[in-house]
Amino acid sequence: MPCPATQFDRTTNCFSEWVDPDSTAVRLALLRVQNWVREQTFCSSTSDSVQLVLAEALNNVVEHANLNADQQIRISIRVTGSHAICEIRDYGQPDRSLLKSSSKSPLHGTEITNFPEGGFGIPLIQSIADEIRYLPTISGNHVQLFVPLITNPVQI
Amino acid sequence: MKLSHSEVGDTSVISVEESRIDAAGCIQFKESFRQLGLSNKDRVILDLEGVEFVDSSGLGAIVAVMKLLAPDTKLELSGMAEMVKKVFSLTRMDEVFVIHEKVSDAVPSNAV
Repeated sequence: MPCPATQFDRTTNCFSEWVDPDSTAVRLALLRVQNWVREQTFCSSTSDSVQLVLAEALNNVVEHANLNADQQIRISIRVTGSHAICEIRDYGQPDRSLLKSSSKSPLHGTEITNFPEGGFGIPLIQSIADEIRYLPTISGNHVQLFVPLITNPVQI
Repeated sequence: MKLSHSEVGDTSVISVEESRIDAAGCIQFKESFRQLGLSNKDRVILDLEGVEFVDSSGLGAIVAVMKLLAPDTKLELSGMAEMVKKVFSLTRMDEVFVIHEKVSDAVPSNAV
């Protein structure tokens, strides 16, 4: 189901927007995502997970897709019965790194002085998302991240 | 990035005065921390009580400042929100740092 043009539509439990390919724009978009997820009935853990997987996926695009400043990234979130499906679409360099197996933390077996300062993003996404789909596209990348939903119990 | 700094004996307490350590702020975080010049301290407590969000870039920045101090100075963490704990747990970084629930747990109350 495509998301409406508006950023947030309560009737369809859907959020979408275009994001400029820089880390400051990503931060601002994530703050809007944070506001949206707080209006849902997710528990705080699910809200954190949605924001985190989107942060990591967007930062991955900003760092590795070689986008020009005018090539925006499309993000959307829609809610099914069991998952928040986060979609990220860009028109940059194809990158299937999200599908590579990297279940180990980059810290595994490493001395403190040699600890890496990067490489945590993809393991984080893989540890949170139940499923990662890389959809066929003519150019760029189209990824779906399935974040399991934990809803707050109804207050009686 | 704004960091506040206090001294308790041989321990420095650094409080992050921003709500996010993320890709947009990680370079400023590392630079602000470096400018504090803490390498001659026995312990440094990084108090994250005001931090609501850390992503992998923020995590990398915390590793970077730990490496700035190592091996003579220990970097310990306190005041982590649930979201921040989650990032540390999923990356097993919680096994690397000494983590205190609150900064007052890290520094004896009679010393604060």
